[in-house]
Amino acid sequence: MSLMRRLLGVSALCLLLGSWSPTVAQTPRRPGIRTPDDPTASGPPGSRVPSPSPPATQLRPIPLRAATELPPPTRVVVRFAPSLSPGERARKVRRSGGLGFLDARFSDFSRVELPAGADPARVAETLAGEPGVLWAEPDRRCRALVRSMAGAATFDDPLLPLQWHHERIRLLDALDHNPPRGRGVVVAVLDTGVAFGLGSDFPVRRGIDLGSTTFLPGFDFVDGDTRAFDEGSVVDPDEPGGPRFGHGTFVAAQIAAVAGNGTGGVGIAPRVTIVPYRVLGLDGFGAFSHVAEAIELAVDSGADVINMSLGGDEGSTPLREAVERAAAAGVVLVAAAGNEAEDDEFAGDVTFPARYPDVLAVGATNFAGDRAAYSNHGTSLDFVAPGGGDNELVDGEIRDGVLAPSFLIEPDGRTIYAHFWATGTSFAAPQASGVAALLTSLGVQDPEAIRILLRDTARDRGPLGFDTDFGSGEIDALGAHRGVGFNR
Amino acid sequence: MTESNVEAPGETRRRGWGIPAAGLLSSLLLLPLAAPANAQDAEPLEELGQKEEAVPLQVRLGLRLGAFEMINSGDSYDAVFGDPLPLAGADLELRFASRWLARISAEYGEIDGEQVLLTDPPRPTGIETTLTYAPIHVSAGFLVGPDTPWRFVVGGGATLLRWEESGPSGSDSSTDPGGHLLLSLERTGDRWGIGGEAIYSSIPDAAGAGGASDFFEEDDLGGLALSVTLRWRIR
Repeated sequence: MSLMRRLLGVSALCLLLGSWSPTVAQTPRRPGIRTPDDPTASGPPGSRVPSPSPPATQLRPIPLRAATELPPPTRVVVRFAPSLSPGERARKVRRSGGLGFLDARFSDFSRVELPAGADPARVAETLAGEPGVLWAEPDRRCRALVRSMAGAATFDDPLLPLQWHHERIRLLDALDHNPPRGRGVVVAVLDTGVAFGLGSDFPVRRGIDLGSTTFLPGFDFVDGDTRAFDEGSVVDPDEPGGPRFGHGTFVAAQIAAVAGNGTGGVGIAPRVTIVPYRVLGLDGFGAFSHVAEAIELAVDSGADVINMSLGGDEGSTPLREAVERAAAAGVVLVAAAGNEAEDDEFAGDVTFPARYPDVLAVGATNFAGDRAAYSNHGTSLDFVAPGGGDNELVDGEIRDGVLAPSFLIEPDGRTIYAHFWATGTSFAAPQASGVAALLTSLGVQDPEAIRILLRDTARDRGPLGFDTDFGSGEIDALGAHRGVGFNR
Repeated sequence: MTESNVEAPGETRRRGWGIPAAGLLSSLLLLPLAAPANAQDAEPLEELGQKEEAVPLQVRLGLRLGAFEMINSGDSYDAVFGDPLPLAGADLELRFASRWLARISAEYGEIDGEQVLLTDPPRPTGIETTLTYAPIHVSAGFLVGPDTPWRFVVGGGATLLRWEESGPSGSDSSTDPGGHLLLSLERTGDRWGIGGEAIYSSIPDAAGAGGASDFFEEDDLGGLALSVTLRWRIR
């Protein structure tokens, strides 16, 4: 079956079930399923009833080509000495082969535009040698770290029993120890944007299960405006006009999906405020200079946690500096470890920005609890969280993926709002961000305290203690809420 | 009654507390069993008919009871345990004909605390965690001052600490070396002695791998132990 036909199958199914409006909670509550905000439901916290019967239709997962080679940089980023006048800066740029420069809106570096065919590395090298230039380098690229996705056929049922990753990190038990459930905490999602609008049409409508979530406006760095709506990123990079998946909406819903509303599943920290920053374009790629600016803006906007389900192969000076400033400001930074572990060119460690010491690097485990084959590993890995494996059926209707709501927009513009199974370290990172937000809402403010709580309470996997496959282990939301002792 | 019984109290005090540091230490330790500074305290053993035997080697066994404040990792310790750690132990002391002595002591203490969220201030979670603390000190000491019933010793030596932290999710234990300084003041009788002792220890690089000690960047499990001691001369 072709990719398009499978996607049309998702579409047809969603239309058939006809309940993907985020404002219509049609699903009857399943007895015995206790959602965190539902005091009337029966059963102890975290209790489960057997998963609902498998639906008649199951969709095969759609592999995404997340490991596609990054496109080359098209610009150069540079920081001039403050004493340099605009005229001197322009002359240096032109002497180095650039067309001109634009200052970043939310940071203190500049972007140099290049003529067609120019080599960014050579321009950067020449520019870096100019007096009064502090640094210059190609504006390196990053990508969304999704691995695969598939439609969930039961999206109009309460999906909590299918969210096996919650059980793995003991989320519901943790929420019992966390009355604020993230209230008052701002999580910045640096991604493809988020479906957080209040309109009725794509892209300004709101995602499923985000109906009562609080959002701050954010910024769209791709289009350069304040409408950070998720326009999706292409499922297949070789098919630029093909269907697009709401990667950022999926990530935001993983963190903030409303609990106790009788529809969908549960977010990790269901009462957080989300501020979306669109740094990944329709092709799924982005520039680290935009990520750096988004970090700076998020810090200025009062973000407590920054989730980055993206990564690139090489570091970036503006990105590193932004990360360091954010960490110094007390912001928790979380990033996906990367999905390239199976690639021949795997560098043996996590991607950037996860590799920076101030960033919590989160790898992925599969349903069986093993390191997902694609999940980058190495000495910079902090811990792992369920991110799914091959996205195949593993237990009844449960797939070896992470379940959350988002959307799929088809080439003809038709948009399917539904729940999807997705895999990738992109979807492990939000679990760490969500738990960090929960801890922050209890008053744990220091990023280092968050790191220690998550690290020291992670459930060890693989060889005893830290190892490069699992870091300190798989995060344990309940364990983190139990705190730490004197030395452990 | 000897003449000393009728001496003016002030004179007696000057003789009995002949070393200012000894008085300072005694005040510091708040010795509950220390005798008041009266005339009798000041009498040389010879005058009381309790002259110590001039043996080349005295051997004494002791018991000790006290409390330990982990001042070198104070933030971490206070966050999780709060109260001082009670310590009990025993020691063996060899006093040579000179004014030198050697002592080996072993102590054991245990305290319950609560796991904490690393907020400011740390927030207890109600999950119990237990610390056991068992130092062994090997010390050399020197008797300072005149040979009176009050013996003031300064010294120091090596420490070996065995410690364990255990909670519902498992336990960690380690044995770590360090050092210590000691001050003791003791009122001796014919075969017995009662007094107080302060030991300041340093056990570097023992903690800091996780939990509160990592957060506060504290790795030294040393601190100040104050003890009451009771010793018997067996030789």
